[in-house]
Amino acid sequence: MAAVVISAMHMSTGVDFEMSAELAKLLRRADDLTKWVVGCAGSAFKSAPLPTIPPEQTGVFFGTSFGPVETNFRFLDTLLDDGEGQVSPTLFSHSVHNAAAGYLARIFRIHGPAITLTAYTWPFLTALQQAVMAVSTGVVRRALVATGEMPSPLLADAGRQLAGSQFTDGPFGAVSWIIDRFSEEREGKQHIAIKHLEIDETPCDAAVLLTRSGEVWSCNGRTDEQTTGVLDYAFSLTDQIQKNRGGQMNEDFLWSIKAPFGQARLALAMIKG
Amino acid sequence: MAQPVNKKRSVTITGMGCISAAGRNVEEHFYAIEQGVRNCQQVPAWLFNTQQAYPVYPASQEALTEIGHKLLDTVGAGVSTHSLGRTALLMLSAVAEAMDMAGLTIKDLQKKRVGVAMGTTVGCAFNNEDYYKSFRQGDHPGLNPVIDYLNGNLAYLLQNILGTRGPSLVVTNACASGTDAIGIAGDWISSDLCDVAIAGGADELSRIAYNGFISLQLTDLLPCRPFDRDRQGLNLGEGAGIVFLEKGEDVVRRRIFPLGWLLGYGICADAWHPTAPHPEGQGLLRAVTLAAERAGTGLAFDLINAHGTATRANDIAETNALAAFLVGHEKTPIISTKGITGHTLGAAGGIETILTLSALRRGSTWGTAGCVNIDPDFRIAPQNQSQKIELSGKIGLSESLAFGGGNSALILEAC
Repeated sequence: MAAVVISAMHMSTGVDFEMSAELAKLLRRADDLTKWVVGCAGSAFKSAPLPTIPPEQTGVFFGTSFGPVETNFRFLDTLLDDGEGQVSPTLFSHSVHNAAAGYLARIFRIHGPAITLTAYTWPFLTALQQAVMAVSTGVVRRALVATGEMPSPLLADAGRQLAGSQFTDGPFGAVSWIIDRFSEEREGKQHIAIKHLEIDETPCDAAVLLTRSGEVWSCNGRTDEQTTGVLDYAFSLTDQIQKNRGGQMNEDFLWSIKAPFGQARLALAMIKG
Repeated sequence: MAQPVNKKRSVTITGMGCISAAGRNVEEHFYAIEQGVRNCQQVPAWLFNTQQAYPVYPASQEALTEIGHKLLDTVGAGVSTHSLGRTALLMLSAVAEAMDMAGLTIKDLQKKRVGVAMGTTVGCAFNNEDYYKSFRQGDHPGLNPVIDYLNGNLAYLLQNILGTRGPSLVVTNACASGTDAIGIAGDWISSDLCDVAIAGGADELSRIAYNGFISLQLTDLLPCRPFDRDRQGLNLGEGAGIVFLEKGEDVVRRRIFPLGWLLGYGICADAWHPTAPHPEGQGLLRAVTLAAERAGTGLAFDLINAHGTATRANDIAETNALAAFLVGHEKTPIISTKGITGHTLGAAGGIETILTLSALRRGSTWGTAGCVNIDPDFRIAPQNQSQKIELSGKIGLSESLAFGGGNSALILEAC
């Protein structure tokens, strides 16, 4: 199987989100989640180094825990307030979990697989695992791997009731990586290769899937860091790789995460073309 | 001496189970197809209250079948049916039937690497209206609905109930979710990521999705008429369709008789519109072509079980894609089974995989229930409901289209 390299990555919170006028027009009907995910992916694509790849050779792998949860509630508002027969079709079509992946495929002209995966554990890692398989087995040459979460007052309220002041709501936003099949076009350059990714989920008290109590990550064996919120694992992982890239990642990179609901490990290594 | 395993047949289907308006097991589904039974009705009050007149295809009120109860009894204490949502109960009923058919016990599974790939749409959303109403009024309602929602991730839930470990995910690709879950699970088996994969889809009828589809003007006030010139839209349904996949060499070792094989999987995005398929079915054409390439079967299919929702846009796009795909094979039988099951959303791909394989195994099936007059605008003609189809071979294709521009196809061979 071919080696898979990380070509670009970007992360953004809803707060720091910026969007071009062109993108804003394409996303005028989209909800915040889709806007963040598409905006973040656009930034990642801008810094992805390979020349144009045929649309059918690129795939989208989007993972999310709660998806467009608030968009679903806005749709429910129209049902409760306005009654049957008066609901918003636009809100309904944006309340499905794969709405963001559909926008990603349309806006970035991706004709390969577009897959949305839902998990309360580590959906970005699950999406990454499937994307690595698709790239390494030749199903696609390139994959956009993305995750995104939007704030939900209802879930935040439940989280506070379950965990009290220890519950952290957010940060929210999106993370995008571009991964590619390693090829000759990359000769002479250093690249970050994905060596190994394993996810092992275990049963736990369901409340922890929301509060994320006891979830800690570690990079290269250093002290465990407590996560804060549903998307923090993806932000932390991306941040650690960005800090270690650019020639500083001379040794193998191992990032791991543990929680009552399982553990996951990602091993990276620098390879030269 | 064990037979060598054909590489094309490395992903073996050893069990299948389904539940929907058409029946509570695989056998009842095929009986419904043969007899043209269409359990399409106004929304029963036990499901939800509505003033809308659009009919649906509900599964039986008791979502957990007898064999499903037995499965939970085997697991023992700790799993309360009261805390499980209807989607989860439908899934467990189908899983139990498929497990029984595969000749596997929970103890067997716990000794293996078990992958679980489940597709759903409604099953991943928080749809508890009472809780939401109370919350938005400023109350702090009891948290049980939130806990049940968190417990309700189908793949995580099933792994926990069975006490198994292995790759696990829920596909939420709208109406193609079940097809994609089976395709992904097949790739896991091929890549030796697990020994057994439990895959398919499950979805319940919900007032929210029901009103959403009505708002999009995609539903019919009459029982749906896929591929008919007078079709007006779909009817929602509910159910689950689950298959057990195993490696070919394991099936030989277990000395069991396989039901069939998953030969190929293709998935491609339309990149076209949020809710409508590409009018020429371009994404679907790419998906079926990719699946055929991976299967190495060429274009000689003995049956195509189309998505066939009965919406104007779906059926024209799908027949356009199939006309472009089946050049030289225009007589291939094409049917839709949604006139029997309704559109079960995330479960559809799972149920239709099973109905396709069942038809191929029996060597015959019936045309499209609800279709009387084939739409003359189609470039290729599906079979209408009056036609009994004698199948000449064992290879079939089951396909799904979805909101978001998803297109997925599975190529199956019956044993």
